[in-house]
Amino acid sequence: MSQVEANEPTPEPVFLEVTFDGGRFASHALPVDAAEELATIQELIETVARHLYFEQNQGKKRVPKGFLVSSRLYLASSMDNCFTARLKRFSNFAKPNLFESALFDQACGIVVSALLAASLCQSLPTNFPTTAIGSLVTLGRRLDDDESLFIKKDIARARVTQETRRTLAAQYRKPLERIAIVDGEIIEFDDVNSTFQLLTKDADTIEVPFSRTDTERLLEAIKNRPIERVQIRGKMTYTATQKKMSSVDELFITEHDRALDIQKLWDRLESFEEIEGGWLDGDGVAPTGMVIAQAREVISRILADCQDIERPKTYPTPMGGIQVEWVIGNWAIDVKFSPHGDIITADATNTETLADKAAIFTQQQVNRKDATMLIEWLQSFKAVA
Amino acid sequence: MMLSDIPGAQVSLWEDALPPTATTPANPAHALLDFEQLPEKQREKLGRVFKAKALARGRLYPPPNPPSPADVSPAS
Repeated sequence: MSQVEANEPTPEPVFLEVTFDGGRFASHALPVDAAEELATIQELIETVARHLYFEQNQGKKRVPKGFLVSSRLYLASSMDNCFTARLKRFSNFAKPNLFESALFDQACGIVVSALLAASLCQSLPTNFPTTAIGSLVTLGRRLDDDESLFIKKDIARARVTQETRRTLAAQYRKPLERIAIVDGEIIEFDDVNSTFQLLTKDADTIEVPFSRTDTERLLEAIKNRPIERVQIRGKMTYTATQKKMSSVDELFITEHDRALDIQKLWDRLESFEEIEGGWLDGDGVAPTGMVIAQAREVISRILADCQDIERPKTYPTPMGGIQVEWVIGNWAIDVKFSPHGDIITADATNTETLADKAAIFTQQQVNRKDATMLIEWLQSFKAVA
Repeated sequence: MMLSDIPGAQVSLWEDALPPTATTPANPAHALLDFEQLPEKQREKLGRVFKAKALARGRLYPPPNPPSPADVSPAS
């Protein structure tokens, strides 16, 4: 036998099969970052095997040399379905007695049993070490909500989804982690602690750490919200009371789909700052910076949150307020921001029947963060002839 | 705007022909609707209806640009 042939790894049977199912895996390809789950499985089996070794070898304080190498798993092949990874151990790289022992097979079986118990909301097997519970909860953190892992060892099978992970984390009071991409607006900025609060499209508020090098562009994103948004990929941690990003891999500033519309609104409102008292043949009061800012914030919120409401016409009023006008179906609608910024009055008239509808909103009800009440009032006219 | 958009609207109509300016042509059809006699809420209501109907109708005068006549090539 030549030197090269002597060093070739010895083919071994499949040690474990892991199928990535659903979502991104339906295209029969595995996103590279999801492959991290295989490393988590390896770590889990190694931890359980270590525990078993000490159980079976009372008095030993260290694992034998080559233990770590023996625990390594290799992606040997994949099947042509969603994506099934066949994992093997290679005897060429391991200590013979360690490789041949049933230790790692036993550890793998215990891991699969533990995952099966977790998926059935049952207690973990008694021989599953508590030191491995953290790794067990970590498995699947890169899965999306519509994805799962199927783990098969001989005839034993178990399934991991975000739902089974949540149940397991709650049962053993462990924080749940996910690698996630979130997108939203910055609503609060804490320069002292280097964190900001991100408001997502689902109305979740997430605490996110940031690096000093990102301070300037994050401050710009706050100033330009809702035109500028932030997209972050990182490790999310969920506890009973909080959702926060514990570390950030990537951070991007992105533009809202309606950035152009919102910018045109801002440009129009900015032009009102040039209006002087005595406009309109000497009788007009100039709108204040406060009412211009209020109109800008509220209308921007409406345009950002509601794709089907068009950019309105905007005008200064002789009393120093701002009037915003829409036509929705047969309804002609005026929304007035009072000069003092305390109330918003809304009036609508049906151009065919001359029927009227009116509403009044306070600053607490309709503002930069939440214009839902005014949006719902406007959208009600889409349904009514 | 057209007065007939709101039958029975209690507004006065005044002719107010506009002379040409440096940037706009003469508009002999220009007129004024006088809302002054009405309460403020009524003025606002009629104003928004007249405007919405006018916007939906589009400009009547001066009429939109007529299509260009077909080019006639000079006889070679």
